[in-house]
Amino acid sequence: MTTLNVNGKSLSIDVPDDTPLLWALRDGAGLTGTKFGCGIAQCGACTVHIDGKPVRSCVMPVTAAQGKAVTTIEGIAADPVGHAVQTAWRKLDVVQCGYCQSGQIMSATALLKAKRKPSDADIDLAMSGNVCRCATYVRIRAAIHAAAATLA
Amino acid sequence: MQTTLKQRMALMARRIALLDAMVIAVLLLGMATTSAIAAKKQAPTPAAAPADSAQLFEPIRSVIQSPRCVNCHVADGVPRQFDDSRPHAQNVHGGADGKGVTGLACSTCHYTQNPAAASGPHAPPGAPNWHLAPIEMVWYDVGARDICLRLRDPRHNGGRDPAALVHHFADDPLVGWGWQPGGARSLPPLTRPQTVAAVQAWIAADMPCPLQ
Ligand code: FES
Ligand code: FES
Repeated sequence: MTTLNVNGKSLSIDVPDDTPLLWALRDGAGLTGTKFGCGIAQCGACTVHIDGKPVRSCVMPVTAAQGKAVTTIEGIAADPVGHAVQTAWRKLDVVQCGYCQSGQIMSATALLKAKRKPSDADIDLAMSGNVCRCATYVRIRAAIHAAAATLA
Repeated sequence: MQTTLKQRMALMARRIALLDAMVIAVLLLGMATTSAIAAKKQAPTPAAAPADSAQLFEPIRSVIQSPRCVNCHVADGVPRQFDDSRPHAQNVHGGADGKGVTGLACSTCHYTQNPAAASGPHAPPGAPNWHLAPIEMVWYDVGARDICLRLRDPRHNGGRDPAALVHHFADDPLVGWGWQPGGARSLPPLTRPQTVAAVQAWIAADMPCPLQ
């Protein structure tokens, strides 16, 4: 039994120790907003925050998240930066199919928490690990700038 | 690479010649008289002759230029991956501190330990303090002589004296990852203890460097 702090709540999750955090969240805690794309940290769909920093939950063992604050897409709106990002996402209608977008929003929020006014180059480098098969990249970049403007 | 191969071939040829010489010496010894053996004992043996520099540094070079080491000792801030040292996928950069860029730190994917075997042969490996070597410590695409000169120069080796150099090879957890890379990754040509022994032998001989 693993105890995790997810979105401010303590959860007991019954999974083996080497289970990736992604499956502890999805199968163990029923938080299916975090997506599985590749399972080897190649796509970014599974991005969550650990103590405010982005990680790919598909390769992080659940035990590595113990004692830390896990934030998923279900809890990111409680963060003012996360809220600003989601608002900008809606305003610019960033989402196409949506599959990659939980990860995109988690990465974008992490970037804006670390750098309030990122340049295009900052955005391209920070978001380069999040793949979107619908190619919403241009809108993602615009929405990050828009969120940055509302946070200024 | 040509030179490296030639050096290796020459080294092998020398070793084979040495082996032949030893076999012949044993045969001769078997036939020799007691006084002849006594006389032979006083003569200098090849092992006592000073070892040539290239020979002492080559084992160290072969390890630090193996993909597990050299892929993170790069000049352009772009980590390499796989045995062909291709640039890291996803346009990954080491950033100012070698630990990634703002919003995409190395630790986003590389944790403090290798992932579970179930993650497959190519999931991102992990070790404590995952980061690129500083720019002064570039081994990628550098000749044996320059690597050697850098390795013994504290301005290029992270301020390490000989004892700290040995410690780097023997005890640093991130360096140690090179010998436990997980997944389907190849290993350096020497084991960690063999590498440490080679570094100690090189230091004991006053860190000689090959001529090229
Ligand atoms: S599912 Fe984790 S990065 Fe693709
Ligand atoms: S919106 Fe479809 S994969 Fe990104």
